[in-house]
Amino acid sequence: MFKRPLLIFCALALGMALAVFALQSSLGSRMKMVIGSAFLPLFGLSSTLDAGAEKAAEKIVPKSVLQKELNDLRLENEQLRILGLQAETLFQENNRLRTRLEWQKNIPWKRRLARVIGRDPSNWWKMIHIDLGSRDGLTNNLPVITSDGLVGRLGEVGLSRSQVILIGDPNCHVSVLLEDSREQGAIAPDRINLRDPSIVEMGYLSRNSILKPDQKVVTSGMGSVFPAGIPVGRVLDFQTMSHGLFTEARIKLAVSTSSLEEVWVLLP
Amino acid sequence: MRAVHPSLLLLFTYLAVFLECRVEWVRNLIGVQIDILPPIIVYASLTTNFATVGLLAFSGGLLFDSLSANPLGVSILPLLLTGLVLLWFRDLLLRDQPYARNMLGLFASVAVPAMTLIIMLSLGKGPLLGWGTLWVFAVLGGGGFLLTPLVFSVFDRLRNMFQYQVIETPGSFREDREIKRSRR
Repeated sequence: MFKRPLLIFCALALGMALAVFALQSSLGSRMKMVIGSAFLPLFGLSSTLDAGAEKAAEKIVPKSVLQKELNDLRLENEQLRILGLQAETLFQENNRLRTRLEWQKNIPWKRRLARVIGRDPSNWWKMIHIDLGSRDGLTNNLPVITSDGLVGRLGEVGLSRSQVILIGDPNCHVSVLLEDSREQGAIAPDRINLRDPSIVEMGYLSRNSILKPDQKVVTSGMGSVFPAGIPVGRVLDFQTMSHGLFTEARIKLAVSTSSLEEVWVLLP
Repeated sequence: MRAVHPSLLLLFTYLAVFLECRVEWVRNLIGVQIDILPPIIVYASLTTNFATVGLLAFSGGLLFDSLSANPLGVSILPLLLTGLVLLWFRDLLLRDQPYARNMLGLFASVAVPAMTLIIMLSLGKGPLLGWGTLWVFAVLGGGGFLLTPLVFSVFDRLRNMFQYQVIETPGSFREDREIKRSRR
């Protein structure tokens, strides 16, 4: 009496689960964004609450502290503007030289600021959600950075929400190089590091690589996803692998991926 | 009134998945995000019917995967299987005992991610693994151990709020009017 309906139900449930499972990846990701949009009201509500809390905190901060902060920011802004002017001159000079050499011109980065609204609820991936989507001009695989360095690349893009696959995730492979020696390698992690999630392995370095701790690691520009020269991190230590066939280095990432609040998406 | 309890469970599942995505302090503190879905499945399988367990596993799995980098639907089967196993043996389980609830929560919170991991590995998706995975399982199991009795107490209270209460009326028996019979 009890067993037959249960078996029918089990078969139905298993069938439905397998049907969802067998969806093609493109259809699956589209369905994912559609189902995920059920959370839009909650994301909106939490963003409003955050903004309200920020405003309330601003009202509590004494005027003298705000004034000091404003002065500091003005000073920093002035310094950055001078640096920007210098960079602009260098950029133009670089482009002139590239034209003479008939090289492709450097295109200045267009960027959009996005707010981090959530994180992957499972423990197997490194991924965050941001509040920009295809209606803001975002497409798959765009690089995501902060002022400190590389954050990752865009994964699935919804209408008003996108997933960012963080550096350190097995699905985010980055071609990098050591800034001073121009030695090339890749960051393609496959091991979990709970003690310090901001440490990743850089592999594919030749066995003759000249490595020193604290060397700067930047993106190499290969693979056409990440532009060249974005800071990735610094070398912590290194060891030879597979009986001296190649070298692997541990990199301390420039960006702390566990405390991200705002990120920049680089647009084409 | 009968639909209130499953609806509350579904609503709680929806909120739980959102909170797992939004609340970061647990992960920043211990490096692992605790999963609330297995304790909810334990509660549902010990107190409701198989339709509710199936619905909960299906919707909870889909909602969870939609916010995660997991392939869509990968969490449904582990939740469903865990729920069905508990449902099948629920008459043999000491479900009213707090210790049994703790242990069932621990079992479900380890079984669900383990099955998810096995399915993902068989699909060729290579998630982050290593010695740290043992710590992940230990924290998930501990979380389930502690959270399951909490889920039971919250839902029992909620269910009582929305259910007709049994009013205890004095019976018709009165001691002073009892006819004593004896062989005197």
